[in-house]
This record gives sequence, structure tokens and C-alpha cells, in this order.
Amino acid sequence: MNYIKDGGDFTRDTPGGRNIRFGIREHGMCAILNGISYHGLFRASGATFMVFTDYCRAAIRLAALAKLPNIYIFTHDSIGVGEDGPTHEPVETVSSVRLMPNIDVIRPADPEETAGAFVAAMQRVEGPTLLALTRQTVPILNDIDVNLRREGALRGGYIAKKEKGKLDLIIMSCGSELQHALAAAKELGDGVRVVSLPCFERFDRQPSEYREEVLPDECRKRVAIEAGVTEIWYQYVGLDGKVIGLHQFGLSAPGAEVMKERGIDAQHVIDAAKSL
Amino acid sequence: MSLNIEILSKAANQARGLCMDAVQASQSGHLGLPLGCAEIGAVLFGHALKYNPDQPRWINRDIFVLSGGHGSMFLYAWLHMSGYDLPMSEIKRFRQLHSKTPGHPEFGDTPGLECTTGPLGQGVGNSVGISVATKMAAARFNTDEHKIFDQHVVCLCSDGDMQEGVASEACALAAHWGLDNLIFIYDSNAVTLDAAAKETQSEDTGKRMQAYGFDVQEIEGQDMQQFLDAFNVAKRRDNGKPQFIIAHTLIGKGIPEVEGTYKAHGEAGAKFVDAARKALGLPDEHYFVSKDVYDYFAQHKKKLLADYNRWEETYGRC
Repeated sequence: MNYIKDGGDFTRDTPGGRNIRFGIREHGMCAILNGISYHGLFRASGATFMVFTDYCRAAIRLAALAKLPNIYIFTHDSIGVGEDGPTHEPVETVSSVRLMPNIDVIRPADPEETAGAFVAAMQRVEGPTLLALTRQTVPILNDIDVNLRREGALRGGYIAKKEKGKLDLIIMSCGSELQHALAAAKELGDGVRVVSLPCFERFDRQPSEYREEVLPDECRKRVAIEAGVTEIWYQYVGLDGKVIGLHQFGLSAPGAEVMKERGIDAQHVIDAAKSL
Repeated sequence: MSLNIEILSKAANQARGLCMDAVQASQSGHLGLPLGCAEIGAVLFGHALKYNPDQPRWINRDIFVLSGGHGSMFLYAWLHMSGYDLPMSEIKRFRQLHSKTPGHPEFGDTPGLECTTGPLGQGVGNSVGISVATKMAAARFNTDEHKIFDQHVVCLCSDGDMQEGVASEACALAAHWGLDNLIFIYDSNAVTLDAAAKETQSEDTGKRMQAYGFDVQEIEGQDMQQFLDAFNVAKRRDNGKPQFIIAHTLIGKGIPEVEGTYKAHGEAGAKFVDAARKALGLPDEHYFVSKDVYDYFAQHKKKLLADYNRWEETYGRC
């Protein structure tokens, strides 16, 4: 995903190559990406594990401040990392970048949303875009129309599953947890809407009519689920809702077991919804 | 063309004056680097760098990065004298709301300013990235017959820059990739923000850079001719090695009460400025640049424009 096939490597003997190998130097990589963007002729993207955003942060912050259109392709974005354990499992990382001004953080749920996310990243020139991608296998969400998923990622948020009849409850999610939101909605019945929110920043830039259409003000029964810290979700969930997430670090075990142990599954969404 | 040391020395002292006046007026800012590196600035902007003040983003310009971004008045003084769209009224508004002269360099705010810097070490990494981009562009677009891109990337970095880890990461890669159009000027004044650098560093920075694969030269940073000679050597080498010039400078040079000490780093020297200005031969008038210095830079600009026009006629209208 991060290697440009047939692009060749940038080396001292082949400076025309399009792939740059940085070794284990995340901070250096991101400062160098900034340099490439300052020069202005090329679009630069860099890849590492999401948890090492912390190594990159000083340079990413300057990219956001200086409006550089860098693209960060950061994978292994949650406790779904699993066996490597809490040192390698982002918990607060994704949301901490969402707090930074002028950077789009896109956490897509499946390959089609990811395709949309790449287009979004390429189209944005006012500042950087960070793609937070899972390590683990996720289902392809073919119950949702392909174009809806692609364009939904570009809009930052969209109705992934519309309620039948009267709207009673909204479940929000993104990334690898969207599947749990959809599964919970199936259990909970007709009045439930599922909203996919892969990019808060893009969604917030949509016209207010669109945002109201996706998240109608009058529906205050709202639940969100993400395998990360919960605080930032409350801006959409409100004081009457609940957020399923993490308040502690991860664990070392197979990823699915870590997710279960930390309560990131459809059942917790169902329980939260019923408690409202 | 030989170096006009007489007029450039005068320009260096007037640049010191601009910096003192701006820091004194805003009651904040950093005197140490702009004063210590005034001669280096004079040689770079008044003689050695290739640029066009009317086309700050000319794609084959030499790209100058001030990694020690706290020394922003260095940049503002030289950009002003060089004829960029940075009038004296903006120097007078140093660090004020919506000026083109913010406390640290902000990309997009100031014509001729190449990078947002200040968090130390970042500009070193940016310079490596810019050099990568110039090498990529040259590989893509130059031919045997036509050297469209032949610029240099020049980075002025401080002790603090070289202490930051990100600089080490970036420098290791610069040497690994053989970025020989990249020239670092290390403002080695042996002082960091709150102490002499020896309190926190014992390494031989030159040897460290050599070990990465840099060519290293060492000069007296206040000696214009020595600096220019080293700079020209660095420019001409093209030997697959990035270049590192250790310039020993006196931080805050021009304010005897603080120069050479950590007190020269920030604005502490501002209270001694009136006497210092006098000792440098500056008139009572603040924000002073003499007619002969402006004239020199105007002449220099003509030469720069002639070089630019030659390039533009060959490649700019394709």
C-alpha cells in the first residue's frame, strides 16, 4: 500500500526513484517530508505504525501549521494490534491527532472507505491528512453501497445504515469498530441508524444541512464505539449518550481477544443503547 | 568577483542595529544568533547565494533555511536589505499582530522565507528534505545538455539544533543518500538557551558529522573571507558528500556586556543596546540602513537578476 510499484527507490545512485527508505527514523522522516513539501514540486507521503505518531508529532504539528499537504499512512491503529502488546497499541493516539488544528484524520472502516480516504488525502492541499488504518482483517461492508462508502469518506461522515420508520437511536463509529455498530443495530431493531464517521474534520466542514441530515438534532439517544479514548466523541454523542471505548492501555494477546477483554464489541453497544 | 568586505562589514553592523532596534522595541526576541552571524548573513545574501527577490519561489534558487528559527531577525534584516518585499515598516512591527515578521519564521507570512522553524532540529530535517526534492527534480528533468536544476540548499543551524535527535536522524540520511548540494553552516557559539553548551555537550560535533559521511570544514565565523572560501569549497565539491561548515562565532557580538554568554541568547542584552549601537558606529537614528549599503544591495540584485534572466530565458518559457 505504501510502496509505489515500478517507482524505484531513491538512492544516491538513483535519485529519480519515488520510494524513499527512512529506516527506523520516524521523526527524521516527517521532518524530511516537510522539506519535500516546502520545495513544492512533489507530493510527499510517509508511512509507519500509528503508535509512533508520538515520534513524528513535532514535525506533523509544523506541517499542519505551515499548511503542507503531506499524507501520513499510519497503520496498526488500535489495540487490534494484539500480540505486540500495549507498547505498540494506540489508545489515545488517534484522538490526540484529531485535537491538532488543520490536519484531517481519516480512519476508514473497509477498503472502499479507504479508497475514498486516499482520494480525500490527495485532493486536500490546505494541510496534511493522516490515514489511520487497521492491522487486522476487517469485513468488506458490501451491505452499504460502494459509492456511498467512497463518497462518505470524502464527506467525513454519512448514514451507513438508515433506520426503518421512526428514528429512535443513532450509533456512531469508524474504522474497525463500524462492524460492531452495524451488528448491534441489527440486534436492536428498526428505529436504529448507523453513522460512519471516518473523518471528524471533513464532516465538520460539511454544510450544516448535511450534518443535520446525518445527525438530526432531535435524536439525543446516541451511542458511539471506538477502540480508543472516548472524550472526543462526546461532541457528537452529547450529554445524554454513551461512548464505548478505552480508559486504559491495551494488552498483549491475539487482537480479537484484546478487543473482547476491553469490551470493544457489539454486545457493549447493545447494552449501552438499552441503558439510555 | 571579489568580496567587498568594506561595504559588507558595514551592512553586517547595520543588520545588528536592525536586530537590536527590533528586539528593543518589542521587548522580546533573540539577539544572540543575528548578532553572532551577521558576517555570515552579509556574505550569503550580499554575495554568495543565488536568488531573485522579485521571484522568491523561483524553482532553481538556492534555498536558505534558518534552522535556529529564534534568530528570525537575522532573516528579516537580510531579506529586507536584499530587496524582498519586506519594507522597514514590517521590521518595525517585529513580533506584532499580523506583521510579516513574527517571532519565529512562519512559512507563507514572509516573502523569501522557506520554512517554519523554531522548534530546534526541524529545519535541519527540512533542509535534508528540500535537498532530496532538488535531487529528485534534477534526476527527473536535467539532461546532459541542460542543467535546469543546479541549486544548493543552505542551512544555518545552532548548537541547539545539533543537540536535537531529529537532526541526527536527518543528517545520517543526508550522508547515506549522498546529498552533496546540501551545506550546513553550524553557528558554533558554544552557548545554548540557559547555559554554556559545555554544561550539556562534550562530543566533537565535527567528528560526529564526519562519521555520518559529511565533509567538515572549520572557520572563524566573523571572518567573511574565510567563510566565503569555505562556502565556495563546499559548493564546488560535488563529491557525493553533504557539507558541514563549523563557524565559530561570538554569540551576541556587538554587545560587550553579554556577548559570548548565554545571556546573549535572548533579549537580556537589549538594555545595553544604546551604547552598543554607538560602539558599532551606528547613528542615533533607529532602524538605520545607509544609502551606500542599500545601493550595494541594489547593484547586487542587478547581477542576481541577470543570472535569473539567463535561466528564465532558457527554461522558464518552455
